[in-house]
Amino acid sequence: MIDQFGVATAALLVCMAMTLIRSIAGPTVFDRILAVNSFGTKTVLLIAVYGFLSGRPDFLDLALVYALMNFIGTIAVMKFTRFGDLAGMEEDEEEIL
Amino acid sequence: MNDLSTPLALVAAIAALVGSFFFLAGAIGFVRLPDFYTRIHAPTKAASLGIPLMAFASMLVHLGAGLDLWVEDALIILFVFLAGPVSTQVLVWAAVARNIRSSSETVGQSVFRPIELVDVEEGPTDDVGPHGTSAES
Repeated sequence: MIDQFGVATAALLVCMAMTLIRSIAGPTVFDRILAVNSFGTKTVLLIAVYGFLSGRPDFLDLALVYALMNFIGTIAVMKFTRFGDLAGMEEDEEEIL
Repeated sequence: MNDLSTPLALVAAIAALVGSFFFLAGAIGFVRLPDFYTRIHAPTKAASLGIPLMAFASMLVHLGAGLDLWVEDALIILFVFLAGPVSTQVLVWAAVARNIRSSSETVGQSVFRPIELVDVEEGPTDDVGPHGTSAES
């Protein structure tokens, strides 16, 4: 099954491997969070592409849910990393900045 | 999907291949660039161009197959367009607030001015992230 979507899937898998390398080697925690974020982004597309590669296009719904989850997860981790708290950002902001 | 006879399938194939090329370029940049601020731009910019292309290819395939699933593709494009820049921006804000060091190759070319040099009258400070908000307070 070597067609254009097979090539796209292979490219996505190579990208995910490289992102995983960075998430292991990344010197700062932000590199790791960015790696996880872009890994999730690539997972969305991998699910979508594999869905119609294997003739099950219903996988797109899963990809959609994964895109939302990825975004909310990144925002939550970032808020926690920046403010040390998931709520009450106003008073912490003055202190850190 | 192997027949590229219809123009719809041809455009879908080109979009998928160009999108995966952008993803590969972004991943290579993510592995090879020297510090966090240079590293963050590679995968995020590549993703905000690659995801719409690949979802567009998927949309065309589903349109060609007569499925109604193009709505999901459109929603994926919409959410990624909304979420990708926002999460990237928040990530850089957090990194600047935590004083992540930039590489010595890019020192002096940074878009982030040191926090004591930010001047309110100097220009629009809304787009420089946490320094802008600190200058206003």
